[in-house]
Amino acid sequence: MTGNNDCRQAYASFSEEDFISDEYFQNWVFTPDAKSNQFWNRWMAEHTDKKHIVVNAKKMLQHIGFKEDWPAEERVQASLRQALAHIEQREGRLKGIWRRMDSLWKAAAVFVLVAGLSAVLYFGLRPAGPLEMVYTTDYGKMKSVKLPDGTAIVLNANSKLRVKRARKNKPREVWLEGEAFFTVSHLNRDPRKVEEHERFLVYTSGLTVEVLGTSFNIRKRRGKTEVVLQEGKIMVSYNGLNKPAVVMQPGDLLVYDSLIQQVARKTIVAENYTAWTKKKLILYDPSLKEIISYLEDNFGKRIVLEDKALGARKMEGPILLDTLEDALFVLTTVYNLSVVEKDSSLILRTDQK
Amino acid sequence: MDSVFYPKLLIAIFVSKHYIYSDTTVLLDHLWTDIAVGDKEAYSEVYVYCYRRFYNYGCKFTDDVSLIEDALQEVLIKVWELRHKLQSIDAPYTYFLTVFRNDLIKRMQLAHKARLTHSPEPEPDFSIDSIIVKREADELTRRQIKAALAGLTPRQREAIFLRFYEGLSYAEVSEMMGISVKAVYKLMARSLCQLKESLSIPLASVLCLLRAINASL
Repeated sequence: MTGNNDCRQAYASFSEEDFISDEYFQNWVFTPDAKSNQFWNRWMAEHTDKKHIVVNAKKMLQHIGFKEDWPAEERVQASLRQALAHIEQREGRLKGIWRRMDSLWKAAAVFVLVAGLSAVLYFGLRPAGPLEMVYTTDYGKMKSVKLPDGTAIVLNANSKLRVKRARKNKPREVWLEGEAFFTVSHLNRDPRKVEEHERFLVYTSGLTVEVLGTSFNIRKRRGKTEVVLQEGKIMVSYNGLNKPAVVMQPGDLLVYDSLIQQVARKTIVAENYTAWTKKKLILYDPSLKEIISYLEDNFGKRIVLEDKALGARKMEGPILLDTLEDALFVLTTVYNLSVVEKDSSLILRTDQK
Repeated sequence: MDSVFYPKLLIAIFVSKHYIYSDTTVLLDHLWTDIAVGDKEAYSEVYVYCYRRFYNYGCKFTDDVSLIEDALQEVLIKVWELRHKLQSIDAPYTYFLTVFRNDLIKRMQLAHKARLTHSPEPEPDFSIDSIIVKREADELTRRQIKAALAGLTPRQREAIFLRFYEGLSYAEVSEMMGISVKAVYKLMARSLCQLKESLSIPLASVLCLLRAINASL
């Protein structure tokens, strides 16, 4: 580390580049303390001609930021509980009791243990089922999933859904990547008191959606999560972001961009966002760029628009994106394009008149 | 924006019930010592703290939260299992961060194999949008930083994250990633400064040209 006074001379010949890559300098910028403040203030006072270099280097370092992704607080706590239970189970009380027992009791304990085990084996280990189920869809394919509690989920193309096995007094939990439409079965009897197992939680990397018996659509693509509520009531919270949770009304659309951590809300016609479940992919007033993204996400083809300026042009009204062929037919007709296939990607080229 | 912090300042969110120190390193040091003698409460605090930080790190490599969660739990249980040896580990935080990184990457490779694709295993890719320019930066600074970041490889980006965000020392990053970290920062600094020069060249060269023309007249 080049922090002591002997090095103050060396700093005099430093360029901006040298400062930026100097560890002691970096430490001062990121975690200044009284000592380093004193050192650098004095240094700048002694080298007034170099002061601007230091200021610039500091500015450069200070403006580098990092995207942050935080886990949902309940996931952290759940994981901690599991870990503690695991540790408890492995070394917990058993060991202590064992140490205090004399040998006769030990023999008896072993006998009981063996007898118990054989009984379990003999009377059949009822398989409890896998801990979780994973459903995935390929490009251009959809899947309907029915959960034991009666909840129906339609999974759109290129998506993945993980479902935790139902547990006593634990909320129902699923994890989503991609897009899915949920019709959640309502277990709650007494609205004044929601039992733990009556809750239904959907996690995406940026959002947690808490459901209270409802149908809604979640789309998580390219770092953006869109939640559309068709019926009922849901509560959306931001994983690890210090923002209040939002209760959504039917017809609400919430768009959360995890890259820039921004939230937008508007009111829409929910059916337009959920129409894909009826094998109709509909976008409403989309720009050509949005259509292309949607086709890429759902059909898995790379699509290149040669004339980038066209990307911002909007289609009027709804467009049906049922199959890739149909969608391309509509696009090429409306925008006067032709499709060229090249190295497994599709190129949309403007036709010459 | 409230989501962009200076490295290490973020640590302020970690408020301990039992230990109140201004410096988190000191705080963590105490917690590690307590874990070593079997304090479960100290362990729980470290668990939550590391969970959040490691999760954030893991998200830079993959969107698959389930992989990250599994790796996290396994690594953090190890913290307890290794508690008797903690005293002999120089920097436990960095040590377990490294264990987590390697574990996660192994899981990603297994998951990749499970998908039955015949494409070769991808190198761990530290996502390019993990490093951003802060909002308050002026246009010139923004362009300089962006250009400098664009020239970095995923490993170099990761090294920058570990140094500037996680606050690891050069030596630690170097050991963790098996590269000369000094070289990475030299590279970054050089590209920052190069761009600045190229931006100011037009005016300077115009002046030179004028002088040359004047002289020849």
